[in-house]
Amino acid sequence: MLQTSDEKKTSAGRLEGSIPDHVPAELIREFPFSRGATTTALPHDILQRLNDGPEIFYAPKAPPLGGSAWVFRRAEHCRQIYLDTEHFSSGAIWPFSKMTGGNWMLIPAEVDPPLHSRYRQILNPLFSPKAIAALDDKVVMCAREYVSAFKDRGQCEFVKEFSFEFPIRIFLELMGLPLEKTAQFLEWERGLLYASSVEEVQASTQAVVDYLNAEIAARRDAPGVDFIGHVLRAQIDGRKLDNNELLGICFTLFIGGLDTVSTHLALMIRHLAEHPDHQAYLRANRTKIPEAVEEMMRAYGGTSISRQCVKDTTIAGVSIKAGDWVLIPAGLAGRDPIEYPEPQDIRFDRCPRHVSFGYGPHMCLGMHLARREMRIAIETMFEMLPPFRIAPGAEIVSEICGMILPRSLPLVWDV
Amino acid sequence: MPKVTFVQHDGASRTIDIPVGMSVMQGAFRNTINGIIGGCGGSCVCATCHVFVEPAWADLLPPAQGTESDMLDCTAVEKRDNSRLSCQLHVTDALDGLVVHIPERQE
Repeated sequence: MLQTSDEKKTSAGRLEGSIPDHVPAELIREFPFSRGATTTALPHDILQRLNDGPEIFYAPKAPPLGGSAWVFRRAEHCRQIYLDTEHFSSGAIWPFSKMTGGNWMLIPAEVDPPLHSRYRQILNPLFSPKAIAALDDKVVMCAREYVSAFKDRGQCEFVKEFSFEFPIRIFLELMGLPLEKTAQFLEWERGLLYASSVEEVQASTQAVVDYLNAEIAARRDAPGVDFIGHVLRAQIDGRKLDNNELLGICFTLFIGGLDTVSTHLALMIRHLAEHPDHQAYLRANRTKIPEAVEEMMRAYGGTSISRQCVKDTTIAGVSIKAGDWVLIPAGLAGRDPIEYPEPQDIRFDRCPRHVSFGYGPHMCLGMHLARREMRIAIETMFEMLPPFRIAPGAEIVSEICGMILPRSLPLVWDV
Repeated sequence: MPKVTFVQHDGASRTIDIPVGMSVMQGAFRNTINGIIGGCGGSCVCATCHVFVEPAWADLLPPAQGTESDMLDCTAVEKRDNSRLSCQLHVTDALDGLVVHIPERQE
């Protein structure tokens, strides 16, 4: 997602280009994605070429921070690491707190068990299947509003006019933040994702931190019936959460649900625009949309998640030492040919058990909401637009680093 | 090996062997039983391995506690008295023949 040069100093394992002695030379491979890299090819085709190499390899420069890391591409190994919190820690896997001089952490994302589950229990009811199902009408209304704005025009730039902003609106609504802030959050998110310098990323992070801190402070005495109110009322061991905890939770909700939904939705709409037969099938079989979303989540996972080994261990004969960093690119695990035969083929009836939302105790808190947002967005596009395709001659440029992100997605349809 | 029967919402059923000590969810996962997602791998955070235990068996099970009890409030289909998260049900010899019903949806 983003990188900072400061991060290079945080851990020996992260030193750019440094390769520990226990790494066998035959397991060293370049990771094809890096800071600032873009491609006009299909990013997941590039990733899938790694299937020709070892199951576990060591990348001297790996996303998101450009440090060295073990990269895992077998879905089974990814599940093993996600479940093995004894050997693999989630502590300090994101740069946001450190880069703004804070001493808070992303909660619950960067908290290891057993404390992790206490925080997670506070948040689970907000994002449960039950709670999220109740939001359907709001999500549908929001999606319709975006499609209405461009439907008569016969064309749109899907990322700019829909997928980037749509999750921000839902997030603001759930958090209880004013919808007028949409443009502001859009700017901050762009600053986090597309920044050309570390300073820009820091500035955007700081702006979000300042804003959330001010909102938390202003609501402390009279918490509302929204997510911020919920965490303000929450208790852990009989005490209220402190400022760092409140900020850590609110920032996690911000960072967790915005660009992730945007990018996967754009990747899915791109697939449907480029595969008219798949689009036609789903239009004729709307009840299959949930299964199609799961299959596309498998094939087009866009995130890469880090862990740090905290206790020596061995996976599939490869020795991983305490201090080593580990990278789990969802887009690679989803192309594991052992788990998903002919992984490049999108088969809506595959019903894959993918790891694109992670696995284990840290499995994506917002996954039920994310699924709803993606399903509803696709349903709404089908309902309000005739078959859409990529604008003739358009070249789609994707950012390829910690996050696989199409920069733009120009679509056309007949009006 | 103890046998566990999964009854789908539409009435279709399938019986599988699950080794003692393994969770009902894990057994379902390994045998590709539809309708039990269990995406979190048994960490009790996703509420997508919800089952209704056949009443005759419900009393033989230790009651849901702590996190499981909290997460049962989060399931997509409203919980009932015999609701459990199958990741928290570990198979024993005494549970040989267990029957669980899979709700209409998990999400």
